[in-house]
Amino acid sequence: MRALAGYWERYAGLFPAAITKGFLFVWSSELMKLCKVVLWSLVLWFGGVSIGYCAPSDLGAMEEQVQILRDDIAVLQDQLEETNQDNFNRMSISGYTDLEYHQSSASGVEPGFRLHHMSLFFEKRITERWKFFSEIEYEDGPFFEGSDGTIDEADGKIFLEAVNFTYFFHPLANFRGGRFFTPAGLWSVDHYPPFVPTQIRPEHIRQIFPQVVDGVTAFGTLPLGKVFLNYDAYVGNGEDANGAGDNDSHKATGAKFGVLLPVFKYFELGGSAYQDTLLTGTEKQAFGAHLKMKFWKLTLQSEWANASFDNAGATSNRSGYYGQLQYDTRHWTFGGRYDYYDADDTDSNDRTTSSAFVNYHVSDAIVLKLEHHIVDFNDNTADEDYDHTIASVVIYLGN
Amino acid sequence: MRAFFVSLVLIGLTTAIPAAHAAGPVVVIVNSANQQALTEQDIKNIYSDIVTHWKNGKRIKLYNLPAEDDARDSFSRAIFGVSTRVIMQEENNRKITNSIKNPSKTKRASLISTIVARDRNAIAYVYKDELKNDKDIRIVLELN
Repeated sequence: MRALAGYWERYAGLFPAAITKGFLFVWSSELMKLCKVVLWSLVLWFGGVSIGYCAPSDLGAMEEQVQILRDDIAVLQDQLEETNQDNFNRMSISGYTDLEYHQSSASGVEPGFRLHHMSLFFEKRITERWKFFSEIEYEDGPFFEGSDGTIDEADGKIFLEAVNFTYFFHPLANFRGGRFFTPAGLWSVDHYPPFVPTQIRPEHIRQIFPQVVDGVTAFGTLPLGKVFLNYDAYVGNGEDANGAGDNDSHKATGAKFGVLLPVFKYFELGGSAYQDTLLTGTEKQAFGAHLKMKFWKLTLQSEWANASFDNAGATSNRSGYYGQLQYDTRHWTFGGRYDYYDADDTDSNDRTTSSAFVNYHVSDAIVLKLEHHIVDFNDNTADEDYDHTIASVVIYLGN
Repeated sequence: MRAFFVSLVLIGLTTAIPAAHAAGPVVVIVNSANQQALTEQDIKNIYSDIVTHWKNGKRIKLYNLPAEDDARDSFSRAIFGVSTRVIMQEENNRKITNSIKNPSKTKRASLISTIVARDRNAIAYVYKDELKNDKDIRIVLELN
């Protein structure tokens, strides 16, 4: 700047000194300001360009980091909620309930409502390997009232249907002890109203294999290439016993297997066996077979079972089977079942039941059912055929 | 009037874009450290509670989306050929019959990627567009 001022002084001698000096003063201060502006502009421009070059990559990285942190926070919040739930609700409680309206042509049966089930399930995963499970069932709105050590009035049923501990050892072999559903066929285990299409079960269920076993069982899944073999093997007190203990020295034993083949949407073929010595000394042996397959929107399910009884050479058989076909859509289930049952082959009391059903699934937890059953007794019996219609609302109280 | 219709078209287009986004393919994902090969049948067996452990002996951590998530219905129909309702009923049935061995956990879609990216034993499914942490995730199956 001084060089510029000197240059101006040298060549501006033609102007009067005062004018020249005054103009030079004004000019040099303005020039200084201008230079300052130019310099600042250059600095800002280079700075801006450099920020502009750096910004996209830096901001991108920062946004990525922020997103990772957000994800971390979301997962931590979720885990915290889960932990809080576990702390406050260590025991998982679920259940189901149903209300039925019955209409039957059988003599002496009046139409009416039935408070059929109210079942509560208590489940706790104690550790990774140990689990507790129980079910208490209240059937037909139970009512008990007593005084002075006697029951004055009793209605309905309260039943501890399951109470057991499971030890998960290995996919090939796990162990369970306590009271559990008899592993036999399909309906013995998969029988709960929210998940079966009818409120009435096939007649032979629970009549050939007992409903529950008090004892221990081993179960597992054996992979055989693309095929899987499920098995259960159990020993228990037998069907005449109760929760207080066994009433004889004989133990009931049984087994079930199911082969899962990778055909159709689902294909299971299996068998069941059971033997027990009853309180009367009668030897009971039971065998069963089951098939379940799913294809397109159809499910075909069928079971057959037979029990032979031998009491000092006097033998008899009890048998039954059913076939059920159902068609499922998002909300609807339609289907039918044919069911045969013979309680004793030494007399003529066999019967068939033809059933049709419609279910409307309001959600995965609420089902409205309508079912019609035509019961046809063997013509040689005194029993009269009848029709039975049930409309019901079934609610699963799961979590 | 013309401007009104143009606006309507524009609004329609902008609302249609998210719908198209949500209808993208569903992908089945595992942690990138998990190199076990999985077929569609394997995934079906895992989500049917038939297979409960990876080949290395670790328990499979099974994740589902909420029932109302469209991706869950797409997954149910592609793998099992039935609706979510049927699959949920089957799982609930296994719960109350005490036959379930490896229960699933339900998590919202925004968490799925991060959970799988962090857990070597996890398996889940999600819309491909909702995937995050791509480098820690391996897509084992894309369902169209």
